[in-house]
Amino acid sequence: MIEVTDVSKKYGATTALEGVTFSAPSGAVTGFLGPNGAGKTTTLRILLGLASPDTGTALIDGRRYADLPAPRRVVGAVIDSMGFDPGRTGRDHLRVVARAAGIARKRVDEVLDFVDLTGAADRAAGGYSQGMRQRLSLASALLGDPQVLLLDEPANGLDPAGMAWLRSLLSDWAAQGRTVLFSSHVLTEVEFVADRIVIIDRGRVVREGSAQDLYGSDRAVVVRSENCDGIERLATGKGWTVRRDGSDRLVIRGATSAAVGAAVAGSGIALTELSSETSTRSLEDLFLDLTTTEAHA
Amino acid sequence: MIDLFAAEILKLRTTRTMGWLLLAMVAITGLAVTGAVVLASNANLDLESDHGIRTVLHVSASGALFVLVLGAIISAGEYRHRTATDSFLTTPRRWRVVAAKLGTATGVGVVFGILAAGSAVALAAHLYSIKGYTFPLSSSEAWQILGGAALYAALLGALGAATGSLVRNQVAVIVGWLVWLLLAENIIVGLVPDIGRWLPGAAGRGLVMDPNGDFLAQPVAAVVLASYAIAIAILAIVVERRRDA
Repeated sequence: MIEVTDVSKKYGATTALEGVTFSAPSGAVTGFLGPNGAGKTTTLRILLGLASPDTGTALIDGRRYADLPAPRRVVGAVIDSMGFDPGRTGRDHLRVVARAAGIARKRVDEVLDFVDLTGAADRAAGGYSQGMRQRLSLASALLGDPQVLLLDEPANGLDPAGMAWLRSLLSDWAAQGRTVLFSSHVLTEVEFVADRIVIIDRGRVVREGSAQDLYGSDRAVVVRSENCDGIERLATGKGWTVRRDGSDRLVIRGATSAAVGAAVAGSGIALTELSSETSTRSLEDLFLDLTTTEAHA
Repeated sequence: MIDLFAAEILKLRTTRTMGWLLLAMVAITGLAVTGAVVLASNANLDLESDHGIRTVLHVSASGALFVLVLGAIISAGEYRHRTATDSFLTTPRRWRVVAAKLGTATGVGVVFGILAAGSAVALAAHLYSIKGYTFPLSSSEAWQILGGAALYAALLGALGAATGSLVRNQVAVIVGWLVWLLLAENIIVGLVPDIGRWLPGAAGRGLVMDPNGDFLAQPVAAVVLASYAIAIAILAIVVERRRDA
């Protein structure tokens, strides 16, 4: 169980996080979704005690990371700032981590097998491909057989087979009653795996809920027309939220498709399409609406 | 804490860096001792006198700089290869990480120092016999110098590790110390010797009983050099606890 409560963090004059509050319950995969620079990594670093918040608390199983008695056995983390000594083998890297954390040596062989890296384990990590590095990081996170997995952009550098493998790993982990929180800036990575989604933008959590809720609620109306400008004026006049998507597509929130259709018919503007969104499209539109409002304003 | 020391040693054993540095240290020590014996005998110095022994053996500490490099690699090297995050995740109480690195660098420094001093005395004894002298193995002066050289290596290791934790940049630490020890300090010692002798490099020369100058007595020099290492280590811990990893 992860609980982040009212966390704020400034770097000089730049506000990285402002009142960030969300939770990631055990038994579920929580996706932490946001564009690059939204504050995902900063939030994870604060959860891991690598950075300290100006205000608020970030707790794992009710404790700050620094107060966990054997943190490697509670939390497994992969974040961007982790690397390897290029002259050390993958196996030796894991042996060092295991030694420092007081974890039995045989776990090294187990996790190497688990991430399918045994064949390359005795080669220097400097020669690993991006995907192999990603799997070695993951192996390192799994060493302590932790209850909580915290992964920053774990899908980066994975090929489709690697993605499928990661997806089943995360699902299995949650199915065992453990906690998974992973960040991504790619919507499709999140929507296929996550049971819950937290959307962050410019340092604030803008939406949090189960994947089903986010697909279902707020389903927008999509309109295509040669005269988008006219419809945009019309919809804005009615108090609906409108976002342009390309030259002939509008995403309208705050109205049913029937209401939109009636309003447009009354104005005499011709439509080429009027529809409620499909769920995938809906999440993508929601994500864009929530995270790029400033760019459109 | 024992796990942390064991992990630091394992880190050193699993790359080639430590072996190369030891080799370089012993090679430089051998070169320095050979040079010192040849120069002293060319100057018709009595090699068996106390002054002769100090002239020959104080250079057995010249390779200790490689331990400073090793210390910097142990601490700042973690930032270079971005393994520091892993260390802090395993050990969130950062003073323990700094202390483990300091202890490891000091311990490895002692071992390296003893190996270098041992090869220095063996080589010196051999060169003495070639030059027609007998190396006075019973001279307490000789063992005092060699002990000082081993301790000097240990303390340079500590200084390297402490500064590495503070500065986090391996190259900056190594270049900074080289410029300080080989250049800056010599100028200061020349200008204001009363202050200069308390600086780390000059304290090191007192520790190995360098006969060429008015340096601190060996025990005082040891305390002074150790104090620098401890002070920088404490500063590193204070800073490390506050800043983001």
